Amino acid sequence: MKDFNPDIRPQGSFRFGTVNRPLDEDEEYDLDNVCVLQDLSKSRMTQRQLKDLYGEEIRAYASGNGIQKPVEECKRCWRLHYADEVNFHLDTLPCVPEEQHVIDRIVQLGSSEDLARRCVAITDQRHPQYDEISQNWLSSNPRGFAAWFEGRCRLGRTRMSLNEGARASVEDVPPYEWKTTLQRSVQVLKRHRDVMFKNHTEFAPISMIITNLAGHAYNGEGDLFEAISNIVARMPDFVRANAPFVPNPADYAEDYADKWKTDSRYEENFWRWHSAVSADLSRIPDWLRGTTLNQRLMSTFEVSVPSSMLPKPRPSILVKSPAIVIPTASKPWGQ
Amino acid sequence: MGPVSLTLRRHSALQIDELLAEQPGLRLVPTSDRTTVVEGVVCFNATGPTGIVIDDKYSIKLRIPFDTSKELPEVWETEGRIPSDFHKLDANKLCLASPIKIRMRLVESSSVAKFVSEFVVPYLYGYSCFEQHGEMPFGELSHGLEGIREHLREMFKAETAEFPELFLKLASLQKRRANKLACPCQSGRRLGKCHNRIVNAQRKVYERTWFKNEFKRFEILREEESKQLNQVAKLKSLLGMPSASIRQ
Repeated sequence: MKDFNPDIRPQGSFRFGTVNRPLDEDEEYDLDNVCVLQDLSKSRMTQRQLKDLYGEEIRAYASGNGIQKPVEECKRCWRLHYADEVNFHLDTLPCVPEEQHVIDRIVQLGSSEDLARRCVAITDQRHPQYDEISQNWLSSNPRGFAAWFEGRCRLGRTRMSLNEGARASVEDVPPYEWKTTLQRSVQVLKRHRDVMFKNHTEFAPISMIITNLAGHAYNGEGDLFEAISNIVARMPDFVRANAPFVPNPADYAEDYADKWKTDSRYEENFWRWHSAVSADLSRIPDWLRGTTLNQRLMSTFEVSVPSSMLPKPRPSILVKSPAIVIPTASKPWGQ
Repeated sequence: MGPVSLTLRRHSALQIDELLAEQPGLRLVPTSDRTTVVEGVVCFNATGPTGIVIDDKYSIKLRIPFDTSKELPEVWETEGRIPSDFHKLDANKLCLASPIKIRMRLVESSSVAKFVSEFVVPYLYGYSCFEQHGEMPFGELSHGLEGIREHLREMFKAETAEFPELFLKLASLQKRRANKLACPCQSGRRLGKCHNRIVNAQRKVYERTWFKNEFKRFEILREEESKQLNQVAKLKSLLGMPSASIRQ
Protein backbone atom coordinates (compact mmCIF):
# COMPACT_ATOMS: atom_id res chain seq x y z
CA MET A 1 0.00 0.00 0.00
CA LYS A 2 2.88 2.34 0.80
CA ASP A 3 3.96 2.21 -2.84
CA PHE A 4 0.74 3.85 -3.88
CA ASN A 5 1.44 6.94 -1.80
CA PRO A 6 -1.58 6.90 0.50
CA ASP A 7 -3.05 10.13 1.82
CA ILE A 8 -5.28 9.58 4.82
CA ARG A 9 -7.51 12.28 6.24
CA PRO A 10 -10.41 12.38 8.64
CA GLN A 11 -13.87 12.94 7.16
CA GLY A 12 -17.40 13.44 8.35
CA SER A 13 -18.38 15.08 11.60
CA PHE A 14 -14.92 14.77 13.13
CA ARG A 15 -13.46 16.65 10.18
CA PHE A 16 -16.21 19.25 10.24
CA GLY A 17 -16.01 19.70 14.00
CA THR A 18 -19.71 18.85 14.43
CA VAL A 19 -19.51 15.68 16.52
CA ASN A 20 -22.29 15.06 19.02
CA ARG A 21 -22.25 12.75 21.97
CA PRO A 22 -24.53 9.77 21.22
CA LEU A 23 -27.91 9.86 23.00
CA ASP A 24 -27.34 6.54 24.71
CA GLU A 25 -24.21 5.81 26.63
CA ASP A 26 -23.97 2.42 24.93
CA GLU A 27 -24.00 3.87 21.44
CA GLU A 28 -20.77 4.28 19.53
CA TYR A 29 -19.28 7.39 18.01
CA ASP A 30 -18.95 7.28 14.22
CA LEU A 31 -15.56 8.17 12.82
CA ASP A 32 -14.75 8.34 9.13
CA ASN A 33 -11.59 8.67 7.17
CA VAL A 34 -10.65 8.54 3.52
CA CYS A 35 -7.48 6.95 2.17
CA VAL A 36 -6.56 8.22 -1.31
CA LEU A 37 -3.97 6.06 -3.05
CA GLN A 38 -2.46 8.88 -5.00
CA ASP A 39 -0.21 6.83 -7.29
CA LEU A 40 -2.84 4.28 -8.25
CA SER A 41 -5.19 4.55 -11.19
CA LYS A 42 -8.39 2.71 -12.09
CA SER A 43 -6.70 0.90 -14.99
CA ARG A 44 -4.35 -1.01 -12.67
CA MET A 45 -6.84 -3.03 -10.69
CA THR A 46 -10.51 -3.83 -10.24
CA GLN A 47 -12.56 -2.24 -7.48
CA ARG A 48 -12.64 -5.54 -5.63
CA GLN A 49 -8.88 -5.88 -5.81
CA LEU A 50 -8.36 -2.44 -4.32
CA LYS A 51 -10.92 -3.11 -1.60
CA ASP A 52 -9.33 -6.43 -0.70
CA LEU A 53 -5.80 -5.07 -0.72
CA TYR A 54 -6.82 -2.29 1.60
CA GLY A 55 -8.72 -4.77 3.73
CA GLU A 56 -5.54 -6.75 4.30
CA GLU A 57 -3.79 -3.62 5.53
CA ILE A 58 -6.63 -2.84 7.87
CA ARG A 59 -6.71 -6.35 9.28
CA ALA A 60 -2.97 -6.21 9.83
CA TYR A 61 -3.37 -2.91 11.61
CA ALA A 62 -6.17 -4.31 13.74
CA SER A 63 -4.29 -7.40 14.90
CA GLY A 64 -1.11 -5.37 15.37
CA ASN A 65 -2.97 -3.03 17.70
CA GLY A 66 -4.86 -5.57 19.74
CA ILE A 67 -8.28 -4.78 18.34
CA GLN A 68 -10.47 -7.69 19.43
CA LYS A 69 -13.54 -7.34 17.28
CA PRO A 70 -13.07 -8.55 13.70
CA VAL A 71 -12.81 -6.01 10.92
CA GLU A 72 -16.15 -5.65 9.13
CA GLU A 73 -16.53 -5.17 5.37
CA CYS A 74 -19.15 -2.64 4.28
CA LYS A 75 -20.30 -1.73 0.78
CA ARG A 76 -17.67 0.94 0.25
CA CYS A 77 -15.46 0.91 3.33
CA TRP A 78 -13.93 -1.21 6.08
CA ARG A 79 -15.16 -0.83 9.63
CA LEU A 80 -12.93 -1.08 12.69
CA HIS A 81 -14.52 -1.37 16.13
CA TYR A 82 -12.61 0.27 18.94
CA ALA A 83 -13.51 -0.29 22.55
CA ASP A 84 -11.61 2.03 24.77
CA GLU A 85 -12.74 4.57 27.34
CA VAL A 86 -15.05 5.66 24.59
CA ASN A 87 -16.80 3.27 22.21
CA PHE A 88 -16.41 4.12 18.57
CA HIS A 89 -16.02 2.61 15.16
CA LEU A 90 -13.97 3.90 12.25
CA ASP A 91 -15.19 3.61 8.67
CA THR A 92 -12.19 3.83 6.39
CA LEU A 93 -12.73 4.37 2.68
CA PRO A 94 -10.11 3.42 0.07
CA CYS A 95 -10.13 5.36 -3.20
CA VAL A 96 -8.04 6.72 -6.06
CA PRO A 97 -7.81 10.23 -7.52
CA GLU A 98 -10.30 11.02 -10.25
CA GLU A 99 -9.29 11.72 -13.81
CA GLN A 100 -9.14 15.16 -15.30
CA HIS A 101 -12.09 14.64 -17.63
CA VAL A 102 -14.27 13.73 -14.64
CA ILE A 103 -13.07 16.81 -12.79
CA ASP A 104 -13.88 18.89 -15.86
CA ARG A 105 -17.39 17.43 -15.96
CA ILE A 106 -17.88 18.38 -12.32
CA VAL A 107 -16.72 21.94 -13.03
CA GLN A 108 -19.20 22.06 -15.92
CA LEU A 109 -22.01 21.11 -13.53
CA GLY A 110 -21.21 24.20 -11.48
CA SER A 111 -18.55 23.44 -8.88
CA SER A 112 -15.39 25.49 -8.62
CA GLU A 113 -12.12 24.07 -9.89
CA ASP A 114 -10.65 24.19 -6.40
CA LEU A 115 -13.40 21.99 -4.98
CA ALA A 116 -13.73 19.71 -8.00
CA ARG A 117 -10.05 18.73 -8.10
CA ARG A 118 -10.41 16.92 -4.76
CA CYS A 119 -12.79 14.40 -6.28
CA VAL A 120 -12.04 10.68 -5.89
CA ALA A 121 -13.13 7.41 -7.48
CA ILE A 122 -14.49 4.92 -4.94
CA THR A 123 -15.29 1.20 -4.86
CA ASP A 124 -18.82 -0.03 -4.30
CA GLN A 125 -19.82 -3.71 -4.02
CA ARG A 126 -23.06 -2.96 -5.85
CA HIS A 127 -21.31 -1.56 -8.91
CA PRO A 128 -21.91 -3.66 -12.06
CA GLN A 129 -18.19 -3.55 -12.98
CA TYR A 130 -16.94 -4.32 -9.47
CA ASP A 131 -14.91 -7.25 -10.77
CA GLU A 132 -13.70 -5.73 -14.04
CA ILE A 133 -10.90 -3.41 -15.01
CA SER A 134 -12.88 -0.34 -15.95
CA GLN A 135 -12.68 3.42 -16.07
CA ASN A 136 -16.21 3.53 -14.87
CA TRP A 137 -16.10 3.84 -11.06
CA LEU A 138 -18.41 5.82 -8.78
CA SER A 139 -17.26 9.35 -8.09
CA SER A 140 -17.44 11.07 -4.76
CA ASN A 141 -16.06 14.27 -3.32
CA PRO A 142 -15.98 14.17 0.46
CA ARG A 143 -12.84 16.30 0.69
CA GLY A 144 -14.36 18.91 -1.61
CA PHE A 145 -17.43 19.04 0.60
CA ALA A 146 -15.29 19.48 3.71
CA ALA A 147 -13.39 22.35 2.08
CA TRP A 148 -16.68 23.99 1.07
CA PHE A 149 -18.13 23.59 4.56
CA GLU A 150 -15.03 25.11 6.13
CA GLY A 151 -15.42 28.09 3.82
CA ARG A 152 -18.99 28.53 5.04
CA CYS A 153 -17.84 28.35 8.70
CA ARG A 154 -15.36 31.14 8.00
CA LEU A 155 -18.22 33.45 7.03
CA GLY A 156 -18.84 33.85 10.71
CA ARG A 157 -16.47 35.59 13.00
CA THR A 158 -12.84 35.02 12.24
CA ARG A 159 -12.14 35.07 15.91
CA MET A 160 -13.62 32.39 18.08
CA SER A 161 -12.85 30.79 21.39
CA LEU A 162 -10.87 27.62 21.74
CA ASN A 163 -10.98 25.13 24.57
CA GLU A 164 -8.30 27.03 26.42
CA GLY A 165 -10.30 30.21 26.31
CA ALA A 166 -7.64 31.98 24.27
CA ARG A 167 -8.81 33.82 21.19
CA ALA A 168 -7.24 33.10 17.84
CA SER A 169 -8.08 33.30 14.19
CA VAL A 170 -9.31 30.37 12.11
CA GLU A 171 -5.98 30.15 10.32
CA ASP A 172 -4.06 29.18 13.44
CA VAL A 173 -5.91 25.97 14.23
CA PRO A 174 -7.25 23.02 12.22
CA PRO A 175 -10.97 23.13 11.33
CA TYR A 176 -11.98 20.36 13.69
CA GLU A 177 -10.84 22.49 16.59
CA TRP A 178 -12.80 25.53 15.53
CA LYS A 179 -15.98 26.28 17.39
CA THR A 180 -17.70 28.55 14.94
CA THR A 181 -21.36 29.44 15.07
CA LEU A 182 -22.12 27.29 12.04
CA GLN A 183 -20.56 24.22 13.63
CA ARG A 184 -22.45 24.78 16.86
CA SER A 185 -25.66 25.27 14.91
CA VAL A 186 -25.19 21.97 13.11
CA GLN A 187 -24.60 20.23 16.42
CA VAL A 188 -27.81 21.61 17.90
CA LEU A 189 -29.83 20.65 14.84
CA LYS A 190 -28.40 17.13 14.82
CA ARG A 191 -29.19 16.75 18.50
CA HIS A 192 -32.77 17.82 17.93
CA ARG A 193 -32.98 15.21 15.18
CA ASP A 194 -31.47 12.54 17.45
CA VAL A 195 -34.05 13.13 20.16
CA MET A 196 -37.02 13.43 17.83
CA PHE A 197 -36.17 10.21 15.96
CA LYS A 198 -34.97 8.26 18.97
CA ASN A 199 -37.49 5.47 18.32
CA HIS A 200 -37.63 5.82 14.54
CA THR A 201 -34.04 5.92 13.41
CA GLU A 202 -34.68 4.30 10.02
CA PHE A 203 -36.11 7.38 8.32
CA ALA A 204 -34.37 10.08 10.35
CA PRO A 205 -32.81 12.80 8.16
CA ILE A 206 -29.12 11.99 7.81
CA SER A 207 -26.42 14.25 9.22
CA MET A 208 -24.90 14.97 5.81
CA ILE A 209 -28.20 16.45 4.65
CA ILE A 210 -28.51 18.64 7.73
CA THR A 211 -24.85 19.72 7.51
CA ASN A 212 -25.12 20.47 3.78
CA LEU A 213 -28.31 22.52 4.04
CA ALA A 214 -27.10 24.36 7.13
CA GLY A 215 -23.91 25.23 5.27
CA HIS A 216 -25.92 26.74 2.42
CA ALA A 217 -28.41 28.53 4.62
CA TYR A 218 -25.88 30.05 7.03
CA ASN A 219 -25.10 33.67 6.31
CA GLY A 220 -22.37 34.60 8.74
CA GLU A 221 -24.54 35.24 11.79
CA GLY A 222 -22.58 35.48 15.04
CA ASP A 223 -25.32 34.86 17.58
CA LEU A 224 -26.17 31.16 17.90
CA PHE A 225 -29.95 31.49 18.26
CA GLU A 226 -30.12 33.93 15.36
CA ALA A 227 -27.97 31.63 13.23
CA ILE A 228 -30.05 28.51 13.93
CA SER A 229 -33.34 30.35 13.37
CA ASN A 230 -32.18 31.76 10.06
CA ILE A 231 -30.65 28.47 8.97
CA VAL A 232 -33.89 26.60 9.64
CA ALA A 233 -35.96 29.30 7.94
CA ARG A 234 -33.82 29.26 4.79
CA MET A 235 -33.12 25.53 4.54
CA PRO A 236 -36.08 24.69 2.29
CA ASP A 237 -34.74 27.07 -0.38
CA PHE A 238 -31.79 24.76 -0.89
CA VAL A 239 -33.74 21.55 -1.34
CA ARG A 240 -34.37 20.87 -5.01
CA ALA A 241 -37.71 19.64 -6.31
CA ASN A 242 -36.19 16.63 -8.10
CA ALA A 243 -33.05 14.55 -7.86
CA PRO A 244 -30.37 15.54 -7.00
CA PHE A 245 -32.41 16.86 -4.05
CA VAL A 246 -29.47 17.84 -1.85
CA PRO A 247 -26.38 17.87 -4.07
CA ASN A 248 -22.78 18.12 -2.94
CA PRO A 249 -21.62 21.65 -3.90
CA ALA A 250 -18.29 20.05 -4.78
CA ASP A 251 -19.99 17.64 -7.22
CA TYR A 252 -23.58 18.32 -8.21
CA ALA A 253 -24.04 14.78 -9.45
CA GLU A 254 -23.58 13.48 -5.89
CA ASP A 255 -26.91 13.55 -4.09
CA TYR A 256 -26.88 13.20 -0.30
CA ALA A 257 -30.61 12.58 -0.47
CA ASP A 258 -30.44 9.83 -3.07
CA LYS A 259 -32.64 7.61 -0.87
CA TRP A 260 -35.48 10.07 -1.34
CA LYS A 261 -35.98 8.67 -4.86
CA THR A 262 -36.54 5.15 -3.60
CA ASP A 263 -38.94 5.75 -0.70
CA SER A 264 -40.91 8.92 -0.02
CA ARG A 265 -40.81 8.29 3.73
CA TYR A 266 -37.26 9.66 3.80
CA GLU A 267 -38.33 12.99 2.38
CA GLU A 268 -41.56 13.05 4.39
CA ASN A 269 -39.64 12.65 7.61
CA PHE A 270 -37.18 15.36 6.59
CA TRP A 271 -40.02 17.84 6.25
CA ARG A 272 -41.56 16.59 9.50
CA TRP A 273 -38.26 17.20 11.25
CA HIS A 274 -38.07 20.65 9.67
CA SER A 275 -41.58 21.54 10.86
CA ALA A 276 -40.80 20.28 14.35
CA VAL A 277 -37.50 22.10 14.76
CA SER A 278 -39.02 25.32 13.35
CA ALA A 279 -41.85 25.10 15.85
CA ASP A 280 -39.55 24.32 18.77
CA LEU A 281 -37.27 27.24 17.94
CA SER A 282 -40.18 29.64 17.79
CA ARG A 283 -41.39 28.39 21.18
CA ILE A 284 -38.09 29.00 22.99
CA PRO A 285 -38.89 32.63 23.87
CA ASP A 286 -42.05 31.39 25.61
CA TRP A 287 -40.11 28.69 27.43
CA LEU A 288 -37.68 31.33 28.66
CA ARG A 289 -40.56 33.31 30.13
CA GLY A 290 -42.17 30.43 31.95
CA THR A 291 -41.18 27.88 34.53
CA THR A 292 -40.90 24.82 32.31
CA LEU A 293 -37.61 25.63 30.56
CA ASN A 294 -35.66 22.75 32.06
CA GLN A 295 -38.37 20.22 31.28
CA ARG A 296 -38.64 21.50 27.71
CA LEU A 297 -34.91 21.37 27.13
CA MET A 298 -34.92 17.80 28.37
CA SER A 299 -37.76 16.66 26.17
CA THR A 300 -36.49 18.45 23.05
CA PHE A 301 -32.72 18.08 23.30
CA GLU A 302 -32.22 15.67 26.19
CA VAL A 303 -29.94 18.11 27.95
CA SER A 304 -30.11 19.17 31.50
CA VAL A 305 -28.92 22.65 32.30
CA PRO A 306 -27.85 23.42 35.89
CA SER A 307 -30.33 25.80 37.49
CA SER A 308 -27.61 28.36 38.11
CA MET A 309 -27.37 28.81 34.35
CA LEU A 310 -31.10 29.17 33.74
CA PRO A 311 -32.67 32.63 33.57
CA LYS A 312 -34.97 33.41 36.48
CA PRO A 313 -38.59 32.94 35.47
CA ARG A 314 -40.02 36.41 35.25
CA PRO A 315 -43.14 37.05 37.31
CA SER A 316 -45.48 37.43 34.41
CA ILE A 317 -49.08 37.07 33.45
CA LEU A 318 -49.82 33.49 32.49
CA VAL A 319 -49.74 33.19 28.73
CA LYS A 320 -53.31 32.41 27.74
CA SER A 321 -54.62 30.89 24.54
CA PRO A 322 -56.07 33.47 22.21
CA ALA A 323 -59.80 33.88 22.84
CA ILE A 324 -61.95 32.43 20.09
CA VAL A 325 -65.64 32.24 19.41
CA ILE A 326 -67.30 29.07 18.17
CA PRO A 327 -70.75 30.08 16.93
CA THR A 328 -71.52 26.71 15.46
CA ALA A 329 -69.85 23.33 15.20
CA SER A 330 -70.47 19.68 14.37
CA LYS A 331 -72.54 17.57 16.67
CA PRO A 332 -70.48 14.79 18.17
CA TRP A 333 -71.50 11.29 17.22
CA GLY A 334 -70.80 7.78 18.43
CA GLN A 335 -71.27 4.18 17.32
CA MET B 1 -39.04 29.79 -3.86
CA GLY B 2 -38.81 27.65 -6.98
CA PRO B 3 -40.68 24.46 -7.85
CA VAL B 4 -41.21 22.01 -4.98
CA SER B 5 -41.41 18.24 -4.86
CA LEU B 6 -44.74 16.42 -4.62
CA THR B 7 -43.82 15.25 -1.14
CA LEU B 8 -43.21 18.80 0.03
CA ARG B 9 -46.42 20.00 -1.58
CA ARG B 10 -48.33 17.34 0.28
CA HIS B 11 -46.59 18.17 3.54
CA SER B 12 -47.38 21.88 3.10
CA ALA B 13 -51.05 21.09 2.41
CA LEU B 14 -51.28 19.39 5.80
CA GLN B 15 -50.41 22.77 7.35
CA ILE B 16 -48.43 21.19 10.17
CA ASP B 17 -46.49 24.43 10.69
CA GLU B 18 -49.74 26.33 11.18
CA LEU B 19 -51.02 23.71 13.59
CA LEU B 20 -47.84 23.78 15.71
CA ALA B 21 -47.95 27.58 15.79
CA GLU B 22 -51.62 27.65 16.86
CA GLN B 23 -51.18 24.91 19.45
CA PRO B 24 -47.79 25.30 21.16
CA GLY B 25 -48.48 22.29 23.36
CA LEU B 26 -48.51 19.86 20.43
CA ARG B 27 -45.49 17.98 19.03
CA LEU B 28 -45.01 16.07 15.82
CA VAL B 29 -44.07 12.43 16.40
CA PRO B 30 -42.23 10.59 13.60
CA THR B 31 -43.81 7.44 12.18
CA SER B 32 -42.44 4.69 10.00
CA ASP B 33 -45.55 4.48 7.87
CA ARG B 34 -46.95 7.45 6.02
CA THR B 35 -49.34 8.61 8.71
CA THR B 36 -48.90 11.93 10.49
CA VAL B 37 -49.05 11.75 14.28
CA VAL B 38 -49.24 14.70 16.63
CA GLU B 39 -49.33 14.49 20.43
CA GLY B 40 -49.50 16.79 23.37
CA VAL B 41 -51.74 19.37 24.94
CA VAL B 42 -54.47 21.27 23.13
CA CYS B 43 -55.45 24.56 24.77
CA PHE B 44 -58.37 26.79 24.05
CA ASN B 45 -60.20 29.78 25.42
CA ALA B 46 -63.54 29.67 23.67
CA THR B 47 -67.03 31.08 23.85
CA GLY B 48 -69.79 29.01 22.32
CA PRO B 49 -73.26 29.86 20.99
CA THR B 50 -74.82 29.89 24.46
CA GLY B 51 -72.19 32.31 25.80
CA ILE B 52 -70.36 29.85 28.06
CA VAL B 53 -66.64 30.69 28.26
CA ILE B 54 -64.30 27.75 28.71
CA ASP B 55 -60.55 28.10 29.20
CA ASP B 56 -59.29 24.54 29.25
CA LYS B 57 -56.73 22.06 27.99
CA TYR B 58 -56.65 18.36 27.12
CA SER B 59 -53.94 15.83 26.37
CA ILE B 60 -54.56 14.29 22.98
CA LYS B 61 -53.05 12.13 20.30
CA LEU B 62 -54.01 12.69 16.68
CA ARG B 63 -53.34 10.33 13.80
CA ILE B 64 -53.92 11.41 10.21
CA PRO B 65 -53.77 8.55 7.69
CA PHE B 66 -52.01 8.99 4.40
CA ASP B 67 -55.17 8.52 2.34
CA THR B 68 -58.03 10.26 4.11
CA SER B 69 -60.49 9.19 1.43
CA LYS B 70 -60.08 5.63 2.70
CA GLU B 71 -59.57 6.13 6.44
CA LEU B 72 -60.70 8.79 8.84
CA PRO B 73 -58.33 10.74 11.09
CA GLU B 74 -58.31 9.37 14.64
CA VAL B 75 -58.14 11.32 17.88
CA TRP B 76 -57.69 10.05 21.44
CA GLU B 77 -57.84 11.92 24.72
CA THR B 78 -54.92 10.42 26.58
CA GLU B 79 -55.55 11.15 30.26
CA GLY B 80 -58.84 9.36 30.72
CA ARG B 81 -60.71 12.54 31.48
CA ILE B 82 -63.44 11.93 28.90
CA PRO B 83 -65.44 8.83 29.88
CA SER B 84 -65.85 6.01 27.37
CA ASP B 85 -69.60 6.53 27.09
CA PHE B 86 -69.26 10.10 25.84
CA HIS B 87 -69.33 10.10 22.05
CA LYS B 88 -66.56 7.67 21.49
CA LEU B 89 -65.87 4.89 19.03
CA ASP B 90 -64.34 1.59 20.06
CA ALA B 91 -60.89 1.83 21.60
CA ASN B 92 -61.60 5.24 23.04
CA LYS B 93 -61.37 7.17 19.82
CA LEU B 94 -63.27 10.43 19.98
CA CYS B 95 -66.34 10.62 17.76
CA LEU B 96 -65.95 14.17 16.62
CA ALA B 97 -68.81 14.33 14.12
CA SER B 98 -70.72 12.37 11.53
CA PRO B 99 -68.10 10.57 9.43
CA ILE B 100 -69.72 11.94 6.28
CA LYS B 101 -69.22 15.47 7.49
CA ILE B 102 -65.58 14.80 8.33
CA ARG B 103 -64.93 13.28 4.92
CA MET B 104 -66.63 16.26 3.26
CA ARG B 105 -64.25 18.67 5.01
CA LEU B 106 -61.25 16.55 4.10
CA VAL B 107 -62.23 16.67 0.44
CA GLU B 108 -62.12 20.44 0.69
CA SER B 109 -58.86 20.68 2.62
CA SER B 110 -56.22 18.29 3.94
CA SER B 111 -55.12 20.84 6.53
CA VAL B 112 -54.61 19.26 9.95
CA ALA B 113 -54.69 22.75 11.47
CA LYS B 114 -58.22 23.25 10.10
CA PHE B 115 -59.25 19.78 11.23
CA VAL B 116 -58.17 20.54 14.79
CA SER B 117 -59.82 23.96 14.94
CA GLU B 118 -63.01 22.80 13.23
CA PHE B 119 -63.56 19.42 14.86
CA VAL B 120 -61.23 18.76 17.79
CA VAL B 121 -61.39 22.06 19.69
CA PRO B 122 -65.23 22.34 19.50
CA TYR B 123 -65.58 18.71 20.62
CA LEU B 124 -63.37 19.35 23.65
CA TYR B 125 -65.14 22.64 24.34
CA GLY B 126 -68.40 20.69 24.16
CA TYR B 127 -67.17 18.14 26.68
CA SER B 128 -66.00 20.87 29.07
CA CYS B 129 -69.46 22.47 28.83
CA PHE B 130 -71.06 19.12 29.49
CA GLU B 131 -68.72 18.40 32.40
CA GLN B 132 -69.19 21.78 34.04
CA HIS B 133 -72.69 22.85 33.04
CA GLY B 134 -74.42 19.70 31.87
CA GLU B 135 -75.21 21.10 28.45
CA MET B 136 -74.13 20.22 24.93
CA PRO B 137 -73.57 23.60 23.27
CA PHE B 138 -73.86 22.41 19.70
CA GLY B 139 -76.32 19.62 20.31
CA GLU B 140 -75.38 16.04 19.68
CA LEU B 141 -76.15 13.30 17.22
CA SER B 142 -77.67 9.99 18.17
CA HIS B 143 -75.44 7.01 18.05
CA GLY B 144 -74.99 4.87 15.00
CA LEU B 145 -76.99 5.03 11.84
CA GLU B 146 -79.67 7.29 13.24
CA GLY B 147 -77.04 9.89 14.11
CA ILE B 148 -75.74 9.87 10.56
CA ARG B 149 -79.30 10.21 9.28
CA GLU B 150 -79.75 13.26 11.54
CA HIS B 151 -76.69 14.81 9.99
CA LEU B 152 -77.90 14.02 6.46
CA ARG B 153 -81.27 15.64 7.18
CA GLU B 154 -79.39 18.79 8.16
CA MET B 155 -77.07 18.53 5.18
CA PHE B 156 -79.92 18.29 2.67
CA LYS B 157 -82.29 20.47 4.67
CA ALA B 158 -84.95 17.77 4.69
CA GLU B 159 -86.17 17.20 8.23
CA THR B 160 -89.04 15.03 7.08
CA ALA B 161 -86.93 12.45 5.25
CA GLU B 162 -87.20 9.09 6.96
CA PHE B 163 -84.33 7.70 4.87
CA PRO B 164 -82.15 10.71 4.00
CA GLU B 165 -79.41 8.37 2.78
CA LEU B 166 -81.42 8.27 -0.43
CA PHE B 167 -80.13 11.78 -1.07
CA LEU B 168 -76.64 10.26 -1.25
CA LYS B 169 -77.94 7.85 -3.87
CA LEU B 170 -79.57 10.63 -5.87
CA ALA B 171 -76.46 12.80 -5.71
CA SER B 172 -74.50 9.91 -7.19
CA LEU B 173 -76.75 9.82 -10.24
CA GLN B 174 -76.75 12.17 -13.18
CA LYS B 175 -78.96 15.20 -12.65
CA ARG B 176 -81.44 14.30 -15.37
CA ARG B 177 -82.02 10.81 -14.03
CA ALA B 178 -82.08 11.81 -10.37
CA ASN B 179 -84.64 14.57 -10.91
CA LYS B 180 -87.22 12.06 -12.18
CA LEU B 181 -87.14 10.04 -8.97
CA ALA B 182 -89.19 10.64 -5.82
CA CYS B 183 -87.77 13.18 -3.39
CA PRO B 184 -86.65 11.46 -0.16
CA CYS B 185 -88.30 14.19 1.91
CA GLN B 186 -91.56 12.33 1.24
CA SER B 187 -93.35 15.36 -0.13
CA GLY B 188 -94.74 13.16 -2.86
CA ARG B 189 -93.10 15.30 -5.53
CA ARG B 190 -90.22 14.23 -7.71
CA LEU B 191 -86.74 15.53 -6.86
CA GLY B 192 -86.72 17.90 -9.84
CA LYS B 193 -89.62 19.80 -8.30
CA CYS B 194 -88.45 19.57 -4.72
CA HIS B 195 -85.01 19.38 -3.10
CA ASN B 196 -83.09 19.36 -6.40
CA ARG B 197 -81.26 22.65 -5.83
CA ILE B 198 -79.39 21.48 -2.80
CA VAL B 199 -78.64 18.10 -4.35
CA ASN B 200 -77.24 19.84 -7.44
CA ALA B 201 -75.12 22.15 -5.33
CA GLN B 202 -73.66 19.31 -3.25
CA ARG B 203 -73.09 17.18 -6.35
CA LYS B 204 -71.04 19.98 -7.89
CA VAL B 205 -68.76 20.27 -4.87
CA TYR B 206 -68.16 16.62 -3.97
CA GLU B 207 -68.92 14.88 -7.28
CA ARG B 208 -70.94 11.81 -8.12
CA THR B 209 -68.23 9.26 -7.33
CA TRP B 210 -67.81 10.59 -3.82
CA PHE B 211 -71.55 10.26 -3.19
CA LYS B 212 -71.56 6.77 -4.70
CA ASN B 213 -68.89 5.72 -2.20
CA GLU B 214 -70.68 7.38 0.71
CA PHE B 215 -73.93 5.62 -0.15
CA LYS B 216 -72.08 2.29 -0.32
CA ARG B 217 -70.52 2.96 3.09
CA PHE B 218 -73.91 3.77 4.54
CA GLU B 219 -75.37 0.53 3.20
CA ILE B 220 -72.53 -1.45 4.76
CA LEU B 221 -73.13 0.26 8.10
CA ARG B 222 -76.85 -0.46 7.80
CA GLU B 223 -76.19 -4.14 7.16
CA GLU B 224 -73.86 -4.36 10.13
CA GLU B 225 -76.31 -2.61 12.36
CA SER B 226 -79.22 -4.79 11.28
CA LYS B 227 -77.08 -7.89 11.94
CA GLN B 228 -76.40 -6.60 15.44
CA LEU B 229 -80.09 -5.84 15.98
CA ASN B 230 -81.01 -9.34 14.84
CA GLN B 231 -78.50 -10.84 17.23
CA VAL B 232 -79.85 -8.81 20.12
CA ALA B 233 -83.43 -9.74 19.19
CA LYS B 234 -82.47 -13.44 19.08
CA LEU B 235 -80.76 -13.18 22.43
CA LYS B 236 -83.76 -11.45 23.93
CA SER B 237 -86.17 -14.08 22.65
CA LEU B 238 -83.92 -16.80 24.03
CA LEU B 239 -84.00 -15.10 27.40
CA GLY B 240 -87.74 -14.59 27.15
CA MET B 241 -87.45 -10.83 27.11
CA PRO B 242 -89.74 -8.50 25.14
CA SER B 243 -88.06 -7.59 21.88
CA ALA B 244 -88.84 -3.88 21.97
CA SER B 245 -86.58 -1.62 19.97
CA ILE B 246 -83.32 -1.08 21.84
CA ARG B 247 -82.86 2.42 20.60
CA GLN B 248 -85.37 5.05 21.50
